[in-house]
Amino acid sequence: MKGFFKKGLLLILVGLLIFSLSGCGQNSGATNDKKEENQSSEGAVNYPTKPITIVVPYNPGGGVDTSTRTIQPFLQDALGQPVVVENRPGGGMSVGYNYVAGAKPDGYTFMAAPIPTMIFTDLTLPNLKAKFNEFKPVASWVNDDCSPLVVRADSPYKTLKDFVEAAKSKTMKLGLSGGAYSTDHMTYAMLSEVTGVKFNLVPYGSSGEALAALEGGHVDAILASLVTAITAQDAGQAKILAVSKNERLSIAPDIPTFKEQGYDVVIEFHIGLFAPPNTPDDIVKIMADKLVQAASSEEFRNRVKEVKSPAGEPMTQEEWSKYCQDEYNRWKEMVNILEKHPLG
Amino acid sequence: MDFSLWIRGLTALIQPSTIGWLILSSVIGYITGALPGMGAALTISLLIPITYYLDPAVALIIMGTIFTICVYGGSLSAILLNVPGTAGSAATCMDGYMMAKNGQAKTALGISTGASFIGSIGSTILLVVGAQVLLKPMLALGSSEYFWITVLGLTIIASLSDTGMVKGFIGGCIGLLLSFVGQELVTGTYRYTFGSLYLISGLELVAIIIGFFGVSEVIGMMVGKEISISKVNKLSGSVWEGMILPFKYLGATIKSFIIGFLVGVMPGVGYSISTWLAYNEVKRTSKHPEDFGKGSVEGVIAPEVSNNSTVGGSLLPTLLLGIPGSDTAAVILAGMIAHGIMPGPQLLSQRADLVYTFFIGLLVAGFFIIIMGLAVLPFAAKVTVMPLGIVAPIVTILCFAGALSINVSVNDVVVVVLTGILGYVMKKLDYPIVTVVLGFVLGPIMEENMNRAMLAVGGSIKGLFVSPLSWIFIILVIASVGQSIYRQLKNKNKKEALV
Repeated sequence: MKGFFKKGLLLILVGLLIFSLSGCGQNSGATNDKKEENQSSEGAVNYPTKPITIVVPYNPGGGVDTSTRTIQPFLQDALGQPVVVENRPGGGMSVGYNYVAGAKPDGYTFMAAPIPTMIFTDLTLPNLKAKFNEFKPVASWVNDDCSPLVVRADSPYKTLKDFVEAAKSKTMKLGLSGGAYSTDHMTYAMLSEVTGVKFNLVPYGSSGEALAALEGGHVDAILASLVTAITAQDAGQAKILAVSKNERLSIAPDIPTFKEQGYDVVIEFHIGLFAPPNTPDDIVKIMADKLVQAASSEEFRNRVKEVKSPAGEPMTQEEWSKYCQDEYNRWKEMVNILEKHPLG
Repeated sequence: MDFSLWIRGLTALIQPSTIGWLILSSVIGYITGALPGMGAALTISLLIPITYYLDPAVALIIMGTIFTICVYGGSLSAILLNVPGTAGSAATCMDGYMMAKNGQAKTALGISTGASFIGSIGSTILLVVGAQVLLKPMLALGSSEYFWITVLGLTIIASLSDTGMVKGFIGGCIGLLLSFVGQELVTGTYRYTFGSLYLISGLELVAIIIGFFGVSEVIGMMVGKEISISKVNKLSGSVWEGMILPFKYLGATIKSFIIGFLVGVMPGVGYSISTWLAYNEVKRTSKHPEDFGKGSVEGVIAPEVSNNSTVGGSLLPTLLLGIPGSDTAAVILAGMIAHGIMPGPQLLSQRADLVYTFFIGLLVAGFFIIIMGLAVLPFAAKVTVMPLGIVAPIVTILCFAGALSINVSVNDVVVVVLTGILGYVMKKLDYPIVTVVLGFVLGPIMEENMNRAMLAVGGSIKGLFVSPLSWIFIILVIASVGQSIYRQLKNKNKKEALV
């Protein structure tokens, strides 16, 4: 029994140590020197004076993470301060969302978030610490992304019209790269709404799995991530029938949109920065200007061309704020069509 | 095969800086592999931004090396401490840790080194010499086939339940129940989340594994009377001796290799399943199935060969179709695209120089397994004869730090502690906790594929039976269940005859 207590005591000590360490890690994003806070009260703001954290509410390696790490060195140069990318995944994007909602609004913590996913999160999840509208949109640097409808290269359907007409007479299998309440679910719901066609939906966990099912002949068409689809098309395995952008993509201008083919399906994906609620406007402005400067730089343009990132032109603070507000109003009305077109 | 390509690949590799990166990434891969929680996917995705500044060939070598060595490193902590470093080493705990308890840690580590070497070199060679023919048939497997393959996986529970099938099934059901936590894919319903945002994305596999294997073992160390992990308190055998054993049990090695490679090629499933399938098959056909779970040599060979051959297998669809065979392969794919290397059938013809440098890098990484093994293992094995008063806190640190490294969330630590306590209680009551982990791993894959197969035909159960290919697996399931029942009956008769 004596041995048990000896070992047990050590364990408890170690446990306490780890919990206290992790406690520090949790708060580090929000702690701040009192001195620097006072400096912003009068005249020109002295910002930034220390490293800035950008929270990515997803795992490393995903689209938002990769895009954030691509801009990070350029943003760092523009700001003259280190920029740290911190992953806080979980609960869709709600864990990172809540973390930034509760972070100190001092301009040293931001969130890199995708639109419209962040809006869907606000509209469909309970228990969030802040409404979407309470966050302050900063600026955006990924603006040329959307959802493509993909068929096999040897598919009998050469155009979107072929496909939709054929789907009216026979039930097609449509593979999605995400589950209920994902952006693919929304794209499908909109497509079904404007065409009146019902598909047998097969939701997959990722674009790779959906592409495998397409290649194996298990589904007739898929919705996938744009990079996956373009890569597969370039390799001669797949054909993109339409993309869900308002205008044609600047990285692949030869692919027609849904809209120009007569089907009003517009869902665009953007990635931008958001500041925690109540962040001072002058600080948000400085960050926005620096982000646009970084995203417009020659080196960044070359970099995104190399990595085939669907970046496009950056949006300024005014453009991004207006875009976010318009999208929020649009999706608030539209979100109920998800219930009208359930996956199963 | 064009030999000039090999020579060009080799010359690209023999540059001081490239070799330097190879060594560095081996060391990084070994450490992050051995530490529970940090898997290959996380390590590689954190390194991708650094590779932007390097030659694409070097970037490929770094990613391939880390993938290979990480999986091997995971077995170090699995064998010595019963804490699998990656999900691919969970099955290694079964017999590897038992060997360590019997004082044969060095031999077990040697087996894992030799087996990983074979798995990794073999799968790389298979990648090069026309494994392309496998691609089409593997893609022909759809949701209904995946469903039946996972059901086949669940029938393993019967053969893992030495203490009685009922207890094994109860364990499996607990695992399935735990896997249901979170948002459901098709309807978006929240199951067992109790309004908590943390639970929406479900429980983490790594946390479950660390809890059930690692923490439950630590509790056992605290409560038990042993003075060190090795019950005999001394080390017998040697690493070298162990390294040769996979060649002696060639049948088990080849079977595990093939299973691992084929499962690797299938998208969406990886070494968290192939290792168990290989373990089951080797046990089923072994001359000494009764030794499994008590420190069987074949029981270490099976998961160790198959996890590394799964790595090679999962690269095949990644390189040639742009379809990642596992989550780590998905990260490698992202890294390739970031370097302007477009995967697809044309890759071998257009970027042959790069691809062959990559293959040679993978082969060299295979030999690094041996080097790392001989350099590190004889010292590492001493952990098993150290006093538990020192070892137990170290394991606790590893478990907690591993849980924290998943999401930097204290919630994962809570899960690890709770599952650890549950695991300890179950062990005391003679429940095979490994069936819990198996149920947890297979549950979501089984459920999602059942849903897909049914949705594809408009929501009917018929979807599970329409494809002729799925009948192969249905028959295998029936055969596997039948064999288990037959064995149980035979054992019963034997016992009765003895009485």
